[in-house]
Amino acid sequence: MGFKNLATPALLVLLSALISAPAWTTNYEIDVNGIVCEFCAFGVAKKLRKLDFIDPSQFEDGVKVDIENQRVYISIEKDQPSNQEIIFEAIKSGGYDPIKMSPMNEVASSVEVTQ
Amino acid sequence: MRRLIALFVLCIIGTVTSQAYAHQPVMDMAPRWNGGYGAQTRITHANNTTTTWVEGVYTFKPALRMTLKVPYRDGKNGDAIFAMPIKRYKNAGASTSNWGLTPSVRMPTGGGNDWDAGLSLSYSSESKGYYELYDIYRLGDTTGIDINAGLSHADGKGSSWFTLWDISARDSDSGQHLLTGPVLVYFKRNVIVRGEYKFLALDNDKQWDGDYLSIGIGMVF
Repeated sequence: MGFKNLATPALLVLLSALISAPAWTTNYEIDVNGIVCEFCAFGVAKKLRKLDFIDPSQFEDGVKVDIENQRVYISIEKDQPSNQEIIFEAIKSGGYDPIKMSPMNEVASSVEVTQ
Repeated sequence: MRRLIALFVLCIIGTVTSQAYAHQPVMDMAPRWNGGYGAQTRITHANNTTTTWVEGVYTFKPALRMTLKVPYRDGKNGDAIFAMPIKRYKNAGASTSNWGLTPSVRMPTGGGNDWDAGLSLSYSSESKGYYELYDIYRLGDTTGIDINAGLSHADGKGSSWFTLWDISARDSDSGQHLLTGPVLVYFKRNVIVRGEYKFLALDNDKQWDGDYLSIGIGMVF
């Protein structure tokens, strides 16, 4: 078996590995004043899900709202441009006041990305 | 204490503005987000008449909404009511509250010629497990006070129930009446269902007869 015969499958395996490599995503928790009801949660989640850098494979389409503790969880794709100001502005446009945003953990996203 | 003060202030303003006109907003609870919109339909039965209301709301931003209510009864449209609720929200930890001022106009789309202006002042507050709304208004020749207060139960999975008690008092040229009874509100994500039954507790009104029943369903986006 010549080099050419081996090179093609090896290249395919390498490409396949690159294509299906998992992205990394970071989860954050955000304390939000006043978010005590389910329809409050609906509006805030709706605004956050529209942000480009939210990883929809985590939580519920990238966002989870805990009205018991007035906390919002979001998942942000790593290396995606994002900042707290944009996230806080989305929450405010949903009608509520964010207080503090803290990183939780880094997890492998189930969204496959082309590298 | 703050709730009592709010109620007291509403009553005082209601007395002061009794020569003005007022009206209640379409959906007080939602949508609260920028660019939110919604519609609901309600069927009410009162005064031996069944009315179907088609209502819409658009939220420019949490502090400013636009609402339209169109009644349909006896085979024809009634007078539509357009309103612009202006709200000031306060979010504090595990509670959220707002004061609302709502100018409105009732248009003679039902075939008449008279336009009526209105004005309402409202306060509502929600905390974990509790909800309350106070609204005082004047529209046409009617001055009204609505109070909703009671318990809320959320399942943490996108749906919640409100079990409220309603008191609605009206004073118009034909007299005064007071209706009171239970209200059930159910939210599932963006769907709102509200049912209420109120019995006549005080009747000094020549034009009012019997109890009040209302059931409605709405969606917000």
